[in-house]
This record gives sequence, C-alpha cells and structure tokens, in this order.
Amino acid sequence: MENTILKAEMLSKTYSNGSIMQHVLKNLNIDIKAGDFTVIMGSSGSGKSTLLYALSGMDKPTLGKIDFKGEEISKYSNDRLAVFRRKHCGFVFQQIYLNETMSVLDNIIISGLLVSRDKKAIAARAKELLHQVGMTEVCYQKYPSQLSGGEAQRVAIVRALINAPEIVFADEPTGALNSTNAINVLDVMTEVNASGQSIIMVTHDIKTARRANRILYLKDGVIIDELKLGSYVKDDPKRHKILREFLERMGW
Amino acid sequence: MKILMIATNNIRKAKVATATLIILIAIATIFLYVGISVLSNLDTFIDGKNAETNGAHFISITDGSHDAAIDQIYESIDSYVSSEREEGLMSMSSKYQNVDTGEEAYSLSTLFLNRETPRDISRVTIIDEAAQIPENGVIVPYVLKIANGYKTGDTLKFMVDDNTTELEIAGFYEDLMFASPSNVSMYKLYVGDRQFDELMNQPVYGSKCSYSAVITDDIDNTEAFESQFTKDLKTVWPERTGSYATLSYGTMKIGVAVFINIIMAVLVAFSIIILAIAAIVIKFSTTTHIENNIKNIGALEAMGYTSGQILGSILVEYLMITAVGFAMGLGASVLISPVITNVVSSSIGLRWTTGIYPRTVLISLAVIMISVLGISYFSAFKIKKITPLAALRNGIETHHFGKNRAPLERTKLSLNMAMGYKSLVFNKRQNLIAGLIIMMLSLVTVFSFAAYYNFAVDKSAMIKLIGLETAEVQVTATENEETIFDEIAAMPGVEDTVKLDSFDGVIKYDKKESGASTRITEDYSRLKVDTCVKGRMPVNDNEIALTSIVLNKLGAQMGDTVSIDYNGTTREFLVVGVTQQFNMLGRGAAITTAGMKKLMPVYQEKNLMIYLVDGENTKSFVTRINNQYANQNIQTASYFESIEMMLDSFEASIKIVVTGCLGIIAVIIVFVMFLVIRVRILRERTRLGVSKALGFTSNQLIGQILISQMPVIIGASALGAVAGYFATNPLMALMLAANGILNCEFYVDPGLVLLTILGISMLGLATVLIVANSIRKISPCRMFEEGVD
Repeated sequence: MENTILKAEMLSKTYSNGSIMQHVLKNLNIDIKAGDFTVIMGSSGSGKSTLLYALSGMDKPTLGKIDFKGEEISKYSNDRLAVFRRKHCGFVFQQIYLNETMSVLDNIIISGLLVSRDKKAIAARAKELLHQVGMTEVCYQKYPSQLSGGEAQRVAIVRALINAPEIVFADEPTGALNSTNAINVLDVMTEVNASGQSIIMVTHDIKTARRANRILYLKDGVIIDELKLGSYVKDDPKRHKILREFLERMGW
Repeated sequence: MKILMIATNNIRKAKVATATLIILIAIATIFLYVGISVLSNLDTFIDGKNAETNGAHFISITDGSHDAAIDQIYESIDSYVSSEREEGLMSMSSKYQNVDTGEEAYSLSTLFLNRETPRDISRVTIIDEAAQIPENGVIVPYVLKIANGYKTGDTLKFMVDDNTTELEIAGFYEDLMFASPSNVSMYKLYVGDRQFDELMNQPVYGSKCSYSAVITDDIDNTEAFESQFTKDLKTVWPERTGSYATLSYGTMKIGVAVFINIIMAVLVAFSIIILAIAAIVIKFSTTTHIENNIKNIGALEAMGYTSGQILGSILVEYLMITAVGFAMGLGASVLISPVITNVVSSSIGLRWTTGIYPRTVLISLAVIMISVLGISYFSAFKIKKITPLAALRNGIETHHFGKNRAPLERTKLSLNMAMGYKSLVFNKRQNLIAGLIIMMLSLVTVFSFAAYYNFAVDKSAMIKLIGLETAEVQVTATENEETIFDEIAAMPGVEDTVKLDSFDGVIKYDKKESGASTRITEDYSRLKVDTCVKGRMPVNDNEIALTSIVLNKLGAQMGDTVSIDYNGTTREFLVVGVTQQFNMLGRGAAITTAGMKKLMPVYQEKNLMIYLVDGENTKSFVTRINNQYANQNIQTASYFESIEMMLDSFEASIKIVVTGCLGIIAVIIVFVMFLVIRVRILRERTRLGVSKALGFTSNQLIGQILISQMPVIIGASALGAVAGYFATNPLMALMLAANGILNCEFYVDPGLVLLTILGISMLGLATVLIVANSIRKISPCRMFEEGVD
C-alpha cells in the first residue's frame, strides 16, 4: 500500500488563448500509492479533469514532472505515452465512449490486442470480466446503442481492465447514470480496487467519493486539502459524516 | 434575414466542404462557359472575320484551260454576284522547312499568288507585318504563327524535289478558305511581284493556274452553289484533269470548326461530369450536415422555424456557394482567355478573341444554379419529414445494428487491418461516393490520355478515322498510267501498291440528293484502312457503300438502290455497306473501278497509293520516282507525311486541353479526398481521441484510415481506368457521331491505363496520408473535449 506508483512534482498546466493565459494547475505535488482509490473533487473549473489527463499521460504538463514507478513519463513522446497508457492505464469516462460501430466484445478486445496478439486469451479474459460485472453472453455481440447506460459503462470498465492496468483513471464514471446503475458501476470499481488495482477518479458526487480511501480537494488548480478515509466499508455512516464535514470545510 | 444567418453559420461550420464545392463549381463554370461561348459564337465569329476582308464564298483553282466556260457557269447560277480571277502558281508536291527551328520538312501543296495584285474579294490584311517587306518576303496563313510557332522574319524553305527557294516571312493573313491545312491540305502564299515572277518562270516549282474567287448573295447556301457548279462543269469539262480544287465557304466553315467543336463539346461534357461530382459532394455534405446538426434542427423547429425555412436556409447556403464559385469560375475564364484564344485560334487558323458574352454567362449561370439548387433541394428534402421531437431525440437513425464485420475474436487480420476494414464497411456511403468520383475521373483520365496519344503521338488511328489510306507515297499520272504504275509496283522498296481515285459524286435517292467524295478502287480488301462499319465494301459493278451521313441525308439504308449521275449518265447502285470517314464532313461513298466504268466507259485510274517496305526512306523514294519519270507528266507526294502535318495543327490544342483536364482531375481528386478524410476525422474525433487514450499511436490511427481508403482509391481508379480502356472508343465515336463516325479504333495504351491507376492511387493515398496526419497534432483528451464538429 505504501509503494508510490505515480508521482507528480510541481505540476503546472497553463492554457493560452491569444494574450489570455489560464493557469489551470499550479505547482501540484501528488503521490499515488499502489492500491489507492483516490478521488479528486472540487468545484467546476477547478482543474480536476486536467489533473486526471495530465497524470494519465493523455496531456502533457506545461511545467513539472510526472513519474510512473520512478520513470519520468512527462518527457515521453506522444507515441511512447500511447504505449505507456495501453500497458499501464485503464480509462473510464463519463460519456462512456464505446465505439458505436463495434460490438461489445470487439470494444473490449480492441484494447487487449494493443498489448497481446493472443486473441483467444484476450477474448476469454474479456468474457470472464464481463461475467464479473454481471454482463451475460447475450450482450457480447450487441452494439453499444443496444445497451442501457449502466451496461455500457460496465462494458467500458471491462475495456479499461482488459490489460490488467496498474491504474484505472475514471472521469465521473457515474455522471451520466441513474442511481441504480451508478451503484452497480461503483460496486464494480470497488471490487477492482479490492483486487489491487489503483483507481484515480474525478467526481462531484459524495456517494461516489465515499468509495475512496483518499480524497484530494482541488481549488483553482491547487490541492487545498486531503482526506484519508481508510478502506471502504459498505453502509458506514461514520465514513459518510467525515466526508461531509471535510467537504463542508472545503466550502462544498 | 434569419434564414441568411443560419445559412452563413452553416457555411462557417463546413469550411472544407464549402471550399471543395466552390472549387468544383468554379471549374465547372470555366468549362461550361468556355465551351458554350465558343460553340455558340464561333459561327458568328467566322462570318464576321470573312466579312472583314470580303472573303470569297466560292473558290475554284484550275489550269486555266476552261476559264471562259467557268465564268459562264458562275453567271448562270442565280446566287452569283461577282467574281475575280487572277493568275497563280500551283505546286502539288511542295515541301516546307522552318529554317529557324530546323524542324523536319513536311509536304503540303502550295498556291502562290501575287501580293501586289489588286483584289476586292478576300483582301489581304497583314498581321505582324515586317517593317520592310524583303524581296523574298512571303505572307503566310495565320495558322503558321499560332499553331506552328512561326514569327515574322523566320525563313521558310520552300522545296520541290531538289529545288529550294528560301522565303522570309513578312507577315500573316487570315482567310477562312485557307485557314488550316487540316481543312484544305494546301497553303495559299502571297509573294511580291519579283518573287512571284521568279517562281512562275521556273516550271519545276509547279504549274501556272487560274484562281477565281466568287461572291454570292447567299452566304448560307454556298454548298448549293458548289453543287451546281460541279454539275455544270462536268458537262463542259468531263475529265476535269486540270481542276485542282473547288472550295465553298459553307463546307470550309464547317470543316474549320469541326475539331474545335469537338474539343468544346468535350469541355462541356467535362463540366457536366464535374457538376455530377459537385452533386455527389452536395448530397454527401447535406446528409452529413443534417446528421450532425439534427438536434440544432430540432431546436430551431421547436422555436417555431418551419421545416420549409430550414430547407430554405440550406438552399440559401448553396445559392451563396454557387454564386461565389460561379464568380470565381467566370473570373478564371477571363484570366485563362489567352490560353483559350490560343487553342481556338490554332484550331481554326483565325484570330479568335475571347470576350464576355452576357447570354452565355446567363446560360451557364442557369445551368449551374439549376443543377446545384436542384440537387441541394432533393438532398435536404428529408428535413421536411423530421418532426422537432424526433430531431431532438436524434431523429435520424444513427444506431448501428448491422452485421459485425471481421469480429476481432475470430478475424485473421491484424488489429490495424481489421480496424481499417471495419472503418471501410462502416463508412460505406462516403466510400461509395468517393469511389464513384474517383472512378469517373479515372475514366476521363484514360480517355484524355488516349485522345492525346492518338491525336499527337501515334496518329495512325486518327488517320484511319479520317478515312485516308496510310500509304507513304501517292503518285498521280495523267498519261501512260498503266505502264508507270506497273513499273512503280515492281520497284525495290515497294511493298504494295493500290490504285485509288476519288471524285465528287452526287448520289440520288427518292428525289433527294447528297454530295459525296466517292472513292474508286478495284478491290477494297487490298486497302490498308478498312472504313466499313456495317455490311461490306462494294465488290460488284452495281454496288456502293455510303457513309451514314449520306444515308441519313438521302433517307436511304442498306439494301436500297441509289443512283449516281455523271456527265448525263445515270447508273443505279445497291447499297451494300456503311462506311465512315471524318474528312469531307463525313460525306463519302465507295464504288468499284468496274462500277465507275459503267458511268464512264473510258475511265482510267490516275492515282497510285504506294506502301513502302519498313525502313525505306520516303524522301529518297520520291526523288527516285521523280528522277525516273522526269519526262512524264506525274505528280508525287509524300502522302502519309502530309496527313501527319495536317494533324500537327491540332497537336498544340489537344496538348493544352489534355494537360488542363489532367491538372483539374488532380485538383478534384485532392479536394474530394481532402473533404472525405477531413469530414471523417471531424466526425470521428471522439472515437479517435478515445482510441488514443486507450493506447493507439497516431501512426496506427493514420494507418487505419489509410487501410480503409486503399481499397476505395485503388479499386475505384482501377475500375475507372479499365472502364476507360473499354469506353474510350465508344465515347469517341459518340462525340464524332455528328460526323458520321460509328466506330472508333483509337489505341488505348495498357501502360497508360496502368499509369492512370498508379497516378490516381498515389495522389489519392498521398492526400489521405497528409490530411490524416492532422490526427498527430492533437492530444487525446482535447480531441474528445472539443466534441464532434
């Protein structure tokens, strides 16, 4: 639990539009430990998604450095970052972003084939993971538009997990789901974390944040505070209260 | 006003499609405007040119032996007004060489006239006149300047056998009758008094001739004048051995315009192809626009806009695009007018001036507006069927329930190949559109290459189309013909000889009649060029083959009996075949020598076509014949060379038109592929972003796009090129149908077909690669933050 897997030092991200400079992230320092379920919270425009994208190597920081297991990934070329992401990261998005033109199974296998050429093994693992998230064989050849939002997000989670990534990045994964589907998805994420994979998740939702063992609160591009919640225990009222008090202190 | 706002907003959002359409419309406008302006104004232009110099309506060149009789015939024809007669020098076997460029000498008959003879008909107005005309100065046809690149001051070497006279070009003149050697294979040259006398006093250069020019009161019916003249002349001069040429204004005008009319018809056809491509782009971008903006359309409808207003905004959008494209095209037409002037002038041998013709502008605008707005209306019409609620719910079916092609679990394809294949299938509509466009362009490219090859590189198919024999040498004898011809046939270096004559016949059928250049030979199977396209050539003395132009004019068909009237003798002939020929405006006939002897029992062949063995030098062979028969009355011509020379005047025009067409084809391919890929990248921005986030590299994604386009581009260019290979001749025949051409045998080089496939594929794929490269510049998160365009 104490091994640092991802580390950002003096991380800054500035967007410029003509003469207008927008400093979205300002000299952030973050350590993500292996097995952590980290939630990043903050008001709209605080830089949560920008931080998530920077940490995952989807976007390059303006200043500062990001290390993954001691290797500085912020210096990588775009192609090397792509290889890094396919091997070590999984992604879950609010808008799900499954490829509408491909079947459920193909949406998952496509990620697996980036790392391995063993189609049979990838397909078997995809089916196993789909089974784990409660998706039956009936869904395999369906297209995303034939799934409910919850089902689609569970497929997206399986896609994120197909290469057994060390870190799963999730950007408001329950944001577009109804409460029942949101709980299902969070249960899956919690199970993933319980199996040892780190999760870094951006959310606005207190119920979602409750699943994390660590909350980072971002304001104007700076982490203004951090809350350690310990391992998730279902229906723990004390955990909810601590989190609410923390967020109230942050001005939530 | 609000509709205008929506329309301008639509244009701003679809910049690439707008730019592509503007360019397509501009190109279509150039071709359409130029094509129509030349086609519709050429007739008036030629008449105007002729009027400027009081050009002759009819010309007769004879040996002077029947001048009085000819003048009487003129006066007996109702439409006759006035005539002028002057002495000239006729050289049937002359050759020319441009000393300044050092080009190969070419054969062409020559008529020398005295520049200083006062004349009121066909006055000589000199273009680029030398400051001081030298004693050996010569005024030459304008075609030599525009098509052959001669300049004032150039030295023209005039040769007959081994005798040479150097003439200095002192200016150029325009005269429809002698405008282009492709029309009448003869130069009319004006030289000064002294030079004229010098030439006239040297019989070796040719024979004295009598040149008469006639003005009639009906310039539109000069062919009737010619027909009457020919008929009457036969009664007073049956054998007409000293009649060198009769030319009527009407025939010459049509002849001069034939080639440029074909070129302009090609341009108009090309503009229609481009409009068809524009229609495909409109259909494609309208459908894409509706799909991408379905929610906006729903919102507008919810706000109270009617579907008619939204449809109106799309029409206004295309109206604005068309207006801009048309204005650009019209502007470009003015800019390229020197090129068009050059093409037209070198084809007709007269100084064409390209102007702005308001009527043509309006016709072109109407054609383009109606085509573009019509297609836009039908493409966008489905908006009328969309309810606001359906639109807000993404009313048009975007869900994909198709068969899962190449499931990744089972496919043997690599990941990138499989993704490329999936993309190919998923984007089938756009791919079909791109494929259709590439196919059409590939076909046009092969057609253009073939036209260039056959007009400019290897002219034998063209010569065959004209209906001429491919003999290297032609000998005309007026005495001891049989002995001379037999001796020539036995000469070393001769592969074969065929006696082939022709006369201007009048064919009659059921009270209708038609003039026809009637060929006479004993056995048509011995000719090297088979002009028969239906039935067979005549074998017996009562058989005739006619061109479709003559048949149509007579209202006759194969199996009918027509008659030929010759010097008061009328004989009937059974039509046994249909022939084709481009020369003599497609009016031709063929009978056997035995058939001719029925009309004229004392008929004797006078022309011998000589085919030389491979490697035999035409020039030295002609010299040998001239030396051998120096004391006989014969005329020798390097036949094939002079035909090639005739066709050379088209070469420059064909080169410009083909180069222009190929350049435009390249531009269209680049723009269409640019549009297809750009739109695809914009539409699939999110998918591409997610793919990058999942770990696909830019190269992989670019590769997938390239793989998905390869079958479309290569397949379509191959299909189009192969279609071009097979369709070139039928298309060419279709274009020349007005000249009675039913069958065309142009050589379509398989190498050029392959080159077309390679060239178009490389160009298309290079464009795809360059446009797809834009994926590289965008970071994955920003790609889906920005959303779909």
